[in-house]
Amino acid sequence: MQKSGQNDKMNTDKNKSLEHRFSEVKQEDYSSTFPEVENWLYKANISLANDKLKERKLHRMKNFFFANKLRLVYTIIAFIAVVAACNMPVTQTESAGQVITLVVPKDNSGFEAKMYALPWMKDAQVTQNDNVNNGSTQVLYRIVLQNTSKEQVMDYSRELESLGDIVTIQITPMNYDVKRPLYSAALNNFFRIDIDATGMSDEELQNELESKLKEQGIDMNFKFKTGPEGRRDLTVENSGLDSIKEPRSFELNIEDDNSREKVKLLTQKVDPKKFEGKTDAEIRDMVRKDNGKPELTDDEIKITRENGKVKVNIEVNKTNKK
Amino acid sequence: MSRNTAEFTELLKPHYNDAVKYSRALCATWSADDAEDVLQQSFLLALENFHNLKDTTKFRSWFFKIITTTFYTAIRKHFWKKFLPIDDSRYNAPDMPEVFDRAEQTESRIVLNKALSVLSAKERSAILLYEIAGFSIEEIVTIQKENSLSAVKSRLSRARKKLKKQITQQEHFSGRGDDPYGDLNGDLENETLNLIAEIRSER
Repeated sequence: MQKSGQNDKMNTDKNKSLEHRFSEVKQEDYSSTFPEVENWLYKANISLANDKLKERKLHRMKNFFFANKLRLVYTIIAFIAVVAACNMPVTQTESAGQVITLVVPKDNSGFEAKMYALPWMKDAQVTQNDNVNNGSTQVLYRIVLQNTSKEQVMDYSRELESLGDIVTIQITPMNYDVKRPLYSAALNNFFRIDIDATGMSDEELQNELESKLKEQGIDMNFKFKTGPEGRRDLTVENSGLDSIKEPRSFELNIEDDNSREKVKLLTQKVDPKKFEGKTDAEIRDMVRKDNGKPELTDDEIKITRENGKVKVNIEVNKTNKK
Repeated sequence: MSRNTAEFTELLKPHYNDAVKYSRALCATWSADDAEDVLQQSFLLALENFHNLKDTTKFRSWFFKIITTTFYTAIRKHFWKKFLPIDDSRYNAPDMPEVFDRAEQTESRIVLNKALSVLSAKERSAILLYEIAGFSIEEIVTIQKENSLSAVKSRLSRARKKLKKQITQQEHFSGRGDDPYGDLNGDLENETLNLIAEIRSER
């Protein structure tokens, strides 16, 4: 009993000691520091608001990317797919020209002279061979016509047939395959020419333009004329469309001292039968509809008819003053 | 921050003294600067989240909960700070004015601080919330995010026991003019005395 009483007393002492120490802490007073802390809280609140604003912007950006991460992934995949597809090599068949092979009897009535007299023969390369067929001697001509369309060669072939004495005549296209990336293939039929004509004479500009077009295989003639007010007028003398083998389009930008001239040329293959039996008004309507340009006037759509052939030129003259 | 600072300080004022005392006692063995860091972070966190407090009558327990959570976080950082130079403040607010006394502490306070340092963070916070801040056991359950009263009760009991033991031990050595933690260098005599003190306190 005595021992238990001693233990109780020890525990009470210990409790007292602990309570005493806690009561000392409780007696500490920091109230006097409150006004300073209060002031600091006001300043801190302003700073917090600014931080919050910055954080909100960052947060919004993070949220946007987080919420749209799937879309972002799709976009990147789509972009990679497009780039990869554009760089995929594709094979294109290009025409280098046409070959007319014809056979005439050796003893013809001056066929060769009449043939060489045809105007387009000056651009042709001709080879000839003598062959003996069933006891009679024949001459085989191989006429190579570079940069010539099939329609043109068909016309030339008809002209040759009209000379008479022909045993056989055949047209063979000269084709070759080219491998190039898809984007290059898409751009192959479109090109752009930029010329800074500042300080150039009319003649210099004309030569510059014609030579640049020739490099692209287009034989076009232009005429530049500077008017009294210093304005340069451009006239297309010969559209040169006949020399274009495949449909090609180009944009021509001529920058002059104070003006900019833009000429856009678009060629397209049209079935010659399309215009057969059509009046000028009907053809003009077709042109407006096909090109999606109902605003084209009758004067701007020029139609010429030669030997049953219909030629349509759209001439739009636009000068944009700077 | 839809509510203004005035409302916050108005609500803080009656609890300020207890909050500072509780905060200092939590960081008992830390320097005044480190303890002020915990208090500053608590104030800023509370100010930032004040708009989330729906019932202002619960301000006191809400604010003490913030101090307690900040202290738990600070303990982890305090450990790593020894090895890495961590910039633990995510706020650009100006520094809080000095609140804690830099003067040398009393003998009695040193004893209590040393005893508190033996407790785990949860035990320390539970006993201080009960003894210094005057919270009920039910309130401590909420502040410490516990599920049962018994968990807090046993924590308090454990903490009290440990404190008594440590204080008795220290008082015993101070009576002899020794410091039980002052010279633990593997000396056989000191270690034996420690052991005797432990056995005595357990009886």
